[in-house]
Amino acid sequence: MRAALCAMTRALPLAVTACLLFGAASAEALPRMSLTAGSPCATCHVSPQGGGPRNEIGWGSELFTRAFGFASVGLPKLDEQESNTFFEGKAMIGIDLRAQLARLGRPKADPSANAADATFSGFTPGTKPDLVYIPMQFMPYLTVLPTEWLTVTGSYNISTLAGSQYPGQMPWEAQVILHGDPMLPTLRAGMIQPTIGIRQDDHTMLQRADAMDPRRPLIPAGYAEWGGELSWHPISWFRVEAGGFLNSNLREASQARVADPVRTSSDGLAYSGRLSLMPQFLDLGLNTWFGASVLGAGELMAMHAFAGVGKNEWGSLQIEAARSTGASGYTTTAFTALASWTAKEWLVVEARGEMATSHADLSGGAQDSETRQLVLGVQFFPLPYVELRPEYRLIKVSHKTAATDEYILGQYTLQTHLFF
Amino acid sequence: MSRRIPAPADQSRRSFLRAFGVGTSCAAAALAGCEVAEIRQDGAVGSLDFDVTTYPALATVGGMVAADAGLSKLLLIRVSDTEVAALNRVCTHAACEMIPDAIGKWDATAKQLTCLCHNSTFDATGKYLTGPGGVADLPSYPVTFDAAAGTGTVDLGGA
Repeated sequence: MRAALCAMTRALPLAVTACLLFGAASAEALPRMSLTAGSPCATCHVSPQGGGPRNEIGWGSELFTRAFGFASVGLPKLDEQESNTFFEGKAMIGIDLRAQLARLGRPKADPSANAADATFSGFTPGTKPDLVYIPMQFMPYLTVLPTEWLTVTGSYNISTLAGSQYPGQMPWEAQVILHGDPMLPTLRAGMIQPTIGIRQDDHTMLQRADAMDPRRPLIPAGYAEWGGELSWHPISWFRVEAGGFLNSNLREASQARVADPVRTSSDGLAYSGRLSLMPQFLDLGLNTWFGASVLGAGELMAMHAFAGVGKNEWGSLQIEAARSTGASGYTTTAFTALASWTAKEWLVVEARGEMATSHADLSGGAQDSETRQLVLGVQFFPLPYVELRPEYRLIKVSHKTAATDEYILGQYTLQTHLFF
Repeated sequence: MSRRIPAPADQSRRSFLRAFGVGTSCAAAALAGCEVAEIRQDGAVGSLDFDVTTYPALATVGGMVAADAGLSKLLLIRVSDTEVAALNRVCTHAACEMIPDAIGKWDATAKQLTCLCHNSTFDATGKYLTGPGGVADLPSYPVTFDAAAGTGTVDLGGA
């Protein structure tokens, strides 16, 4: 078993570390891992959707995604860890700790500023929002596998106890996963996030946000509902999901914007579905995917279409388009292009460009907004289970029907991520 | 706990410290520039006139209403007999919109505004008081209020 495990962990590219399939799961996701590796994320994760708790292979791969081993910092014993499983593989533990140093909010007017000093035409220098330290995720996982066909897993985001969570965000997730014959669908049920497009580990991405107010996501980080979802993955290049959910948390998210026209009905059910095709071109070493998803609840409908191509040890290119509609003529459309370059297994350079537009027919007249965002950064894994993610983020929020409250904010951020 | 995964050969502690030092230095240099914060408030909506006929809740002390001025989402609060406060109603914590009697609650005695999403609290000037960490003050706007006439004006250019 030891030899087999070693072989697997060596055979898997180190980029498989998180190996998160593009989909919804109990935690944040790096879909580039799946694209570059071309491996099903269940290879590394407990959930067939990827994300969240890692299985022993995923855990072992993470151990080797590093610029330096623990011995380099005087902790050689930590390099000799054995496993993340207990009781003959019947139980697994894990954790994600994530925090970010960033400026929250938008610039404020500075009465003493001179428009001539502005970098961008038509704007005036403002006061930067304060730089704050934001605990995002402190989430332990526990997974139990009582039988070969049943997995029970759950997590709790302890950092939400400080009150820092978005409306509609759940601090915990729990699910049972029934996985029998590989040719049959897998069922996961519990408090889970429906499958929605491609789930990235950056909740500021515009594909789940609103151009009118990009800080206020339509679908918040950690969004989850009571419900169930079937996932059928009979062959390597084809996958389909379909689910039904309550919509209490989606409703909570929408009630936070009760004066806005984005609403869901109070008692309707939410439904979700996604179709993905994932052809591989082995001669070229290319892995690809493309597909589409829909999430509906009441008058809200969110549709996503996505495509991606990746090459092992090179990187990946992903694009995603999203369009959400609601009552009162509300629409928001977003387009994201994300390129990643695998400089080293432990150093990935990323660039992302996004644009979103929103329209709503408010009582005071139509409101049209446009937001553009550019993000440049690296994902650096200096030690096993440690990720540092410095980024530069430039966002511009424009409104076409009124000129107030437009802003441009360019800032450096630093995200730290410890995981096991 | 029965399996053991062999660790690959690693680089030295010195090389780790060297790399860490170089990385930190580069990051510090980069942080020196490129941050930008600019706004455009070019007067499409420079002020908002209001009266207690349009907003009956403002006729009594403790009343609070939501009012929109273009894209500016405001809360107008009758703080006292002679004062009306105007604050941005988008909470600076998680951007919940503090709709009166739904998400936003004004305590007339304590003169304190609470965002019921996560219980962030602010005073009548928008100053952050308590609640989840990392919360900025609410933008506030100067108000001129004629209590006898029941009319007033919010100066949106003063945020």
